Amino acid sequence: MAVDPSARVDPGSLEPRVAVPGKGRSRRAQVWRRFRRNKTALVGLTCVVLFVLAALFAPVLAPFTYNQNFFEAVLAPPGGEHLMGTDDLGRDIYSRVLHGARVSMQAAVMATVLAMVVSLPLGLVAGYYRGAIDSVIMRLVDALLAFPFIILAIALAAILGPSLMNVTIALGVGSVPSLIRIIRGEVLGLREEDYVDGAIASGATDVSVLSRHIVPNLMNTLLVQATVMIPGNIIGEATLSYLGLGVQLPRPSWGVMLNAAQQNLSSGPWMLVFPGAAICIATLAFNLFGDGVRDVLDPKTHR
Amino acid sequence: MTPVLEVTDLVKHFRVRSGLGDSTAVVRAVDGVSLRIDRGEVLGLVGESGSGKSTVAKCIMRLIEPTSGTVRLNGTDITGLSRRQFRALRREVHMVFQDPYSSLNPRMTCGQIAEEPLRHHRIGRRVARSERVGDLFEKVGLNPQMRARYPHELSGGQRQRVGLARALAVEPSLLIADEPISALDVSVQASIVNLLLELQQDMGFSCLFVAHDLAAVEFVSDRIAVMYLGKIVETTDRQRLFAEPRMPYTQALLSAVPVPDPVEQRQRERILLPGEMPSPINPPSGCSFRTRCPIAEPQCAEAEPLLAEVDGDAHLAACHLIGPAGEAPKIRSTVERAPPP
Repeated sequence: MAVDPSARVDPGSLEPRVAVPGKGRSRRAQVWRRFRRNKTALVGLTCVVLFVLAALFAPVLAPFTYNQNFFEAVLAPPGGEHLMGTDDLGRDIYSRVLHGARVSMQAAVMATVLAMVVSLPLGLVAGYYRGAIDSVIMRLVDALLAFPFIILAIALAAILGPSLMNVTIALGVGSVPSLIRIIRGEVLGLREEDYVDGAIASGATDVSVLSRHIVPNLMNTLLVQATVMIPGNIIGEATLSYLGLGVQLPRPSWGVMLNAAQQNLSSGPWMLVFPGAAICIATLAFNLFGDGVRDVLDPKTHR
Repeated sequence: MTPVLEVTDLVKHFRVRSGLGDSTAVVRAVDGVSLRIDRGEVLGLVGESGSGKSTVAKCIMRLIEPTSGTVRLNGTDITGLSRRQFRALRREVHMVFQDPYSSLNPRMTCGQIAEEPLRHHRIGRRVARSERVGDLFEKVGLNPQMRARYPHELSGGQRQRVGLARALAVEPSLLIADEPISALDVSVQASIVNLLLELQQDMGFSCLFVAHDLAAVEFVSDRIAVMYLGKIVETTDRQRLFAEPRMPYTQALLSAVPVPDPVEQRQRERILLPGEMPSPINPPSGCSFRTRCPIAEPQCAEAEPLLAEVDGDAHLAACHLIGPAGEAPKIRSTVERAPPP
């Protein structure tokens, strides 16, 4: 520190004052550049996009409706008119897998959104205010965490009764406890950041601190959590449907199809292979994609 | 005239859990600090790390709630106010943080960051605020076009300028600068200090300048307070402190400031203090500095020396060994002069 009053310099002259507007490398572009380097994550992303398209356009892409019976071609092997064969009721498996993607995605995405919507306010309040309210929320969370996710979801689905809506609610609520805990932990860290103090010093209200400073900095964590939760929910939906707690017949779900395949294992193994492969590939794709997202976004893995 | 800031007997004790079980210990981070800053005055607060100077700053901002004591801002005791009541008064005081990296929200543009106090205090409409932010950027030596940039695109010095723009946006009567330059490169430290001083003279705000760098404090401060282990041990105006330090700790601190002349530097007597600052969990009896004081006497362990006038009310120091006429205790150099090369 060499400050000499006689050698006052114009403030700023020691630092470059260049600012080229528009040239600012946006955060998003940087994130995408880093993500692109990860080849496995790109493969995952491609599969995810395909699955989402399949789910969105199932009625257009499917050659038949999911409920059309071809009684002359019951348990037809793959190939020919029926790409993936037919099931024991003569329904086209390819069409049913496509429609199953629809159910799967709907349940998985909606359940994840539901979990976020419920967990975010609770996690924010617990982490930001701490104290008694934190204790109450976290003890409830601890109690719920004593049940494994799938047991909790099965119990909820059984109580609510079988339907796609109820499966979604069961899966969503089932993942709330762990999500609250993650959000609370993150908020505990963020509230100690200097910029939160800076906002408080600027006269910000609690609502403003939370909405403008804490939630935006929580987004990466939430996004990473979402990519982890979606494959879990795909499997969760398949499990509940397999157990008969999910979508009701005749709507196809991968889990329902697996259940039906069980009785025809020797006469029509393709009934098992295709929905099973769909579940595998979908969850794998989401997991690979999620890992890539975490690598570029999660502040804990690198900074 | 009421002082801009008047802190009386400020105490902040932190409870910490120590060891196993439920036993708690008390960290006496700030232990009875009193300060006064008049209008347009710059008070430098110096001390080693861990002496509690940042805690004092944060208590004044009520980013930390003090354990006891009062903080009067332009005459109003802010410690008794509710958070909501104090929010309106936050116009009067703002802060520049030590770390220019963590003190700016990475998700906001620099313009939004500097505009925040204006928005929260509902000053001006959108267009007027935007204009004001542009002026502020000019004032702190940033190109107004930088408003659209995100903090991660800026250098440390530029970020600190954004922090300064935010702090001065609502023209507070008091600016608290909590080690504003210690995280910066040496080459930009000078420019930030110069800027701060220039703005201070221009806008006339009072300033609490917290630092451990004596050279910077000497440069900006009208008066200086020296902190040790949560207490102020000496306070006076800048000239007197540097010319006639009384407290042995102050003498040691001053002797550590390098002088530009290498010949003189080599021949200076330096006082090296043994050991480290004691833990604020278990401070020593009597004078808190006695464990490291080169001239401590038995009486120093018995009673705590109080801040007393040594030269009228303009110079206060807390030491038993100060003579009856206020003469400073003599300390022999504890370092041999370096042999000539």
